Amino acid sequence: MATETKHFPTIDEQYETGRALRDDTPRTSHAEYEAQAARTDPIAILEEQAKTRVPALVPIRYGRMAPSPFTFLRGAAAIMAADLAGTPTSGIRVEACGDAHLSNFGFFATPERNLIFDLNDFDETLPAPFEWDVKRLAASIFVASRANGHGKKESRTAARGSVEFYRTHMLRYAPMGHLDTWYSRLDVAMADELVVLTPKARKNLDEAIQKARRRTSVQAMTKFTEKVNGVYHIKDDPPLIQHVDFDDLHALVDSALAQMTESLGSLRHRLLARYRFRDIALKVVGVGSVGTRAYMVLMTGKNDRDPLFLQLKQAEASVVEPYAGQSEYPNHGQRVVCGQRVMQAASDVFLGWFVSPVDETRHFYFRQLRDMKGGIVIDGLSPKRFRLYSEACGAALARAHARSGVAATIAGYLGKGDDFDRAIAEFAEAYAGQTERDHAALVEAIRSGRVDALEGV
Amino acid sequence: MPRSSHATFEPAADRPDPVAILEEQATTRVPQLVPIRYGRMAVSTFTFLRGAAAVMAADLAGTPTSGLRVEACGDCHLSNFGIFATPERNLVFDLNDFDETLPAPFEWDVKRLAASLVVAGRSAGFSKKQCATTARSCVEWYRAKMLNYAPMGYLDIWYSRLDIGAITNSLQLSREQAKRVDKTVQKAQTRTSLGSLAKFAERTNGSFRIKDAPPLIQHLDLPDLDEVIASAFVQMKESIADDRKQLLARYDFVDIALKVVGVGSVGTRAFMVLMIGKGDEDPLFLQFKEAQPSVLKPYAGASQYSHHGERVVCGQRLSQAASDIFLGWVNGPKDPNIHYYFRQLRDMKGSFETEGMTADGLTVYAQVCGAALARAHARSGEAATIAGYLGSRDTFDRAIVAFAEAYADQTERDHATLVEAIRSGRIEAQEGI
Repeated sequence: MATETKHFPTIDEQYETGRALRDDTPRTSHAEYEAQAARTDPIAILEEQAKTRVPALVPIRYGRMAPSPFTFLRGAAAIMAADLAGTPTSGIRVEACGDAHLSNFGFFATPERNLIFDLNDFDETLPAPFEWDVKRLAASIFVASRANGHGKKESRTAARGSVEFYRTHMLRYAPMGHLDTWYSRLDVAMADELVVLTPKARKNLDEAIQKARRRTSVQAMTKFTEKVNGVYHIKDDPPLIQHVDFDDLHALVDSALAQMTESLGSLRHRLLARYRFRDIALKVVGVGSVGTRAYMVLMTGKNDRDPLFLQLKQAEASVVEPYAGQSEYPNHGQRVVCGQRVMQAASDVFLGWFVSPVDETRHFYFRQLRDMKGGIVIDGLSPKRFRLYSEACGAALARAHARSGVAATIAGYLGKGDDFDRAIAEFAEAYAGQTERDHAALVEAIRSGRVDALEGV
Repeated sequence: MPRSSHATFEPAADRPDPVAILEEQATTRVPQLVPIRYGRMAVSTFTFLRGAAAVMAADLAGTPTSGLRVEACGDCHLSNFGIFATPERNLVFDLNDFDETLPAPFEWDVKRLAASLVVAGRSAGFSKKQCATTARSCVEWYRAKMLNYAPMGYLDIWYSRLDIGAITNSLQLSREQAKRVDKTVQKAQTRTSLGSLAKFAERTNGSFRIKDAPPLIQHLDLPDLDEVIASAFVQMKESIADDRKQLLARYDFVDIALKVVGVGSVGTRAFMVLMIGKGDEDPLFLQFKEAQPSVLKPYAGASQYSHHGERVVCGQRLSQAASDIFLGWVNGPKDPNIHYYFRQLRDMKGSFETEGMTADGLTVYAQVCGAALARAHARSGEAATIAGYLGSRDTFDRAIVAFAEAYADQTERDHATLVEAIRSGRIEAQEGI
């Protein structure tokens, strides 16, 4: 019997550890953003990413990034990762999202059918400094706010509000037991406990909730399929949805279904085994990831009125990897799935990964295409409502980080004053300037014919 | 197979002596604990039935079935239902013991549940008619629920659950019954790891230690305990998902002790483990329980899982609406042929005290058990086919009641045999603990 007295660091000690980190990296130091002297041409970074993508789809990516600095920022996770790598950090690491801009938060239904607000994109997840997510969120808020026509002061307030909520929520998680943190979540129905909703915000939210609740596989059946000779098929809608004849597709479907069952665990595999494969088509999604291979799969269960749509999405190395180190997972699909499960309060029952049967360097993850996924449309939000939304994102990010990080240490570093909030808001403003310049560079590259863009799709 | 055929129960001509079945089980158990098992089973006909899953499995094997198989609980008596908190902290009512789970005919679970209701009703002094009403209501709810599930999509069935709040609102409970539910729910909510820390542990020299309470809770006398623990922890991480692995890694091992639990499984190896997370007010109690082959195995066939702990965990996850986040399995670090599963010891688990219920109260409880069993079966079985077999009339319900009554008689005879075996000194029982 081990009889020596074990010492578990107390919450106060963890908090002190965090506080002490301010000596090396003062909170105010996060305000800085200076483009590195040797900063890589942002368009070159995008062109480098294009090399591993489906060539025919790459112009859609540029076309989707070109409309505004905000759409550019959404697609430019790789560019920002390189920029963040040069900024100061406290050294506290968490399982980071890697692409925590405000449109990567949203609603979805949990396995127990609660509608929650949480991060919902983990393509770039990796253990990394917590500040990187906070900075990308704040910068995206500043940029989106400006795109909405809000003034600089309003944009700063929104960015600072997200950081303030991140910090105060981290302070709340600091003393909580690990399991209590694990079980905590942001229920959409409880939004008023999180932020002070104005009547207009309440109305927005209710509409978004209703819309999310309607986004199910049954609804997708009407939208995405047609019956031909008594059999349901996915409707082509080129270039966004099309039946394709990639080298690996047939083998992919067979082997995906076989491998999927392995990564799902025997239990969910028993559930998936009740569904029959019907059809698969390429489906373009997102902004930054356009051009990676993404498919939608139609399956049916008990009968044709019991559809299940899965999304199979290619996962490449995280854009954060060159700066944060390699993932412990050899399969990028597994990296995404495990990161997602660690960060989200609850995750899709059909989350899993597999490897392409014809090219073992090509990794995929899968999930349900539509399971009451939705969110607040930020276009056209008033400054006040935009700030509320920003605050909710900050709270959701703190919850996600508290699951893998040591909340008390992060809270100790952040402290009760608003130094950190103001520093990040300043960073956000500076980085918004960088994003505007980068966006202009993309527009110019399209105009000059350096890159080929397909706009409006 | 006509539905009315389920009414019959005739003990097989070559029916083995029930006490011999228990003695056979005792051969693989911890010898010092076996008398506690007999002692617990001897208390009443009902406690005998609880412990006699193996005896009943042999009897069920000889009864008619439609051939429709589901992931069966295998030990579906009324005390193996209860309430617990899900991963999203909903309090649900569901089956909560899967030691004997295996794919098997759905009727076996229905019959064991109905028989347990008649036995419990008789123990409470209810009339024959009252007992029959209780058992019939249970089967009626099972059948009605299965008819509900029949047209539902697979995912809708998968997501459905019996929330304790929703159930109590939907039932018209008497004031007395509502009070009983509230009390049980409140009690369950206090049964947490933090509550267990005060109950099961003491602090000596600044660190926590599980309190000995022999013969039910005792420390192990193992010189190589540290290695044993280390090996168990390495294995634990293999059977849980990566995210849970990270969560588990946040807790440090503090202490382990043998802890006797249940009735039928007394004597199998069962441990409680205390771990501490943040600071020292953040305890986590895990239970490790030995899993042996299901008592159904000789009659339903071998499991697809060669590890019995894995069989229990997978059967549980398949049957329950939502399961403990820390369910997993390991081999015995010293003897890999001993299989274990693990779970949280106390995570707002609670059960309804059926003793002291009125006949009406027991009937309401029976209905909810019937509904919960249908939900569990619909997750793995083909609900529409089962519903088609059961039909919209009560032929099946009445047949199962007749079976339950006949089997309650059998249980009374078997219990008397056990009491006699103890009296005569054939087996040794330790009563009152």
